[in-house]
Amino acid sequence: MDALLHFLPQVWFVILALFLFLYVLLDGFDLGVGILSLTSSDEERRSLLMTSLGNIWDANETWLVLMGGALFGAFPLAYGTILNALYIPIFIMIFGLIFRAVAFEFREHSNRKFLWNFAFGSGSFMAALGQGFALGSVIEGIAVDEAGHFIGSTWDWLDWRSLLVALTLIQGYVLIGSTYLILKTEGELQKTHFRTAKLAAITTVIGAILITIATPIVYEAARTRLFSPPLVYIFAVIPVLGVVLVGLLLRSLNREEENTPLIWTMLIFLLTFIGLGLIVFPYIIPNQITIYQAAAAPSALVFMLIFIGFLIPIMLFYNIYNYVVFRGKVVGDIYGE
Amino acid sequence: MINSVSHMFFATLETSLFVIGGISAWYILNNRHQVFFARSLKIVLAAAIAVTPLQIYIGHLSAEQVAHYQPTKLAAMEAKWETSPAGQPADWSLLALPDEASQTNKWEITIPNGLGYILEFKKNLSEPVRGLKEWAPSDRPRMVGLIYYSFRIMSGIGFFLAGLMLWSVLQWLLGNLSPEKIAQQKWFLRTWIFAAPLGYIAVESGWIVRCVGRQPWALYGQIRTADAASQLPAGNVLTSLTLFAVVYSILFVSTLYFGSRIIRHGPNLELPIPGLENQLAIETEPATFVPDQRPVEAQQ
Ligand code: HEM
Repeated sequence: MDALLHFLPQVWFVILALFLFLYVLLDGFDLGVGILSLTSSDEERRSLLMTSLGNIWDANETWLVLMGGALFGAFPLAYGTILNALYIPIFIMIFGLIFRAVAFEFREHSNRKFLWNFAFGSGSFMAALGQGFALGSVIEGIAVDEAGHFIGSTWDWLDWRSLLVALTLIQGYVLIGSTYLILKTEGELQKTHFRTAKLAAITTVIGAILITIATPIVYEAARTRLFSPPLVYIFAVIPVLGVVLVGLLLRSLNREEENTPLIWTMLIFLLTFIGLGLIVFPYIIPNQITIYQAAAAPSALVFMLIFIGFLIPIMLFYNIYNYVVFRGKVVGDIYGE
Repeated sequence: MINSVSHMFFATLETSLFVIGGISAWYILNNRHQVFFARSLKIVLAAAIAVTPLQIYIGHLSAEQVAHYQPTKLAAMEAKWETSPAGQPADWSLLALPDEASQTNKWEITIPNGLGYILEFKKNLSEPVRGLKEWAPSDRPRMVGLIYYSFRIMSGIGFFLAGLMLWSVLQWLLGNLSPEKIAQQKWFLRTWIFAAPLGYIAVESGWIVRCVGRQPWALYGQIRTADAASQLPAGNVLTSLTLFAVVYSILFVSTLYFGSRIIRHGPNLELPIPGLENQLAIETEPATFVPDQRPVEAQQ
């Protein structure tokens, strides 16, 4: 029984991590393309950008919904605390996502396209910004009492460290969005995104380095965890791998390869994510509440596991199928047809 | 649980059916694509024959469930202050003006002995129906009038739509829904257009009944809403709620705007049916086809 009490929350931690990772990866390029659309020079280009997302963006965002549901069901305490603490960033994200989503539908029918273009681009930016602040302040830690309830104040999430994380995440999204567009477009449009990808790669790396340096300096707890075995070995490897991957990415961009930039970027995301996951585990709210404290009753966890067990393969299959159907380059204005 | 789920499920079906029906009626009334839309109206009607009575019946089952598990909600839905004992008939209130200060209805139109028939299909109640006064004011919902009228709006719409269904079936049997004749049924079509938004109103009223009626509980009898609420400062919640209201109002207006634009623009009947690429949908329009009569620039 005791083993089960440990095992179930761990399984759910992994499931949540999977949802979060898929979301960040998939909606990441999606939001990145949206942010890039703010800089598009003309209507035709913007149409192409939106066409490249038209059939997949909502499937990408289902992972966020699923993650919210899973967090609520599996770790209700963490759900309550995190949503309390991150109320404003999460609302920034939600409103961003709302505007972005309707822009897809309304732009097509509107005569004032600039309004919906702006809703699309700025909505994407807001969503990414909100997510970045949320991520940043979760890593920093959230003020809670012994029972795990939030005791901080409304604006706790806002400081220079979370701003740094937010800006870096936006860069990361622009990077993965650019590499996605390299894959999906051709000609001038593709050229542009080789350039934006290179720029974003550099700014993302600078951001990542700053975060990596700042985190152990500012946070005691992170420092002790990082510099004691076994994590210290892993964290010796991750930066090395990171440098290699960034090198590969830049090389593929210089050679103007079409498929590999996206792959390297995804691997960079994966590496970062594994690093983050290892720092956070076994906490669900870093250094405050462990997954064991926050977990729902074992019966609830088992029940949901059965349900989710059916759902994950179906969703993965559908997602992959979706990408297979809509593979290939976007050409012309087929968006919305 | 199964009642609530199916009541909600059929609510969405019924709402969409009457939206499609209303739009179809609008096209027919405006002499556009009558053949096509007479057919879609009939498809809607065929589905409504099953859905509208079923929804009333499931709603009734929901009400029985409410009577059993959430008696305070039932009392509020019926603006019932005094308990009616078992073994006797009780009046059913059709319209009333509930007044919470005096714990009575200021005025009331009742149907004598109606309650027993509504709840149990017989005159005498076999179980007492408890009135609101049996609970302390802190243990029962407030805003009785809102709950009472929301319930009446919802069920009124339920019966109205079922009635519209019956009328339409009658017209169908009389042959008045054929493509040639249907456009002359002006009032019939106008009623369908009028019915288009009713489903939404019923859904909103249903939610009010369910959620306002459940107060002061978040989970009936288990946890109070006040205890379940988050510890966020009220100002934050008020701000986000206001923002939601503003944003959704903007979206509501845009949806109406673009929706009506799409409708006015009309369907493209020349698009091939998926899977039947070589058979054009236009072929289904017989010789009596009345072409689009709007000015050319509106047709684009
Ligand atoms: C005579 C007809 C109807 C009756 C007797 C009826 C009865 C009820 C009752 C008793 C409830 C409360 C259930 C609860 O609190 O557990 C309810 C909820 C509801 N009703 Fe009706 N209803 C009727 C027609 C309709 C119609 C026509 C619609 C929509 C098209 C509708 C939509 C809803 C919705 C959306 C809810 C809330 C369900 C939820 O939140 O789960 N109802 N109804």
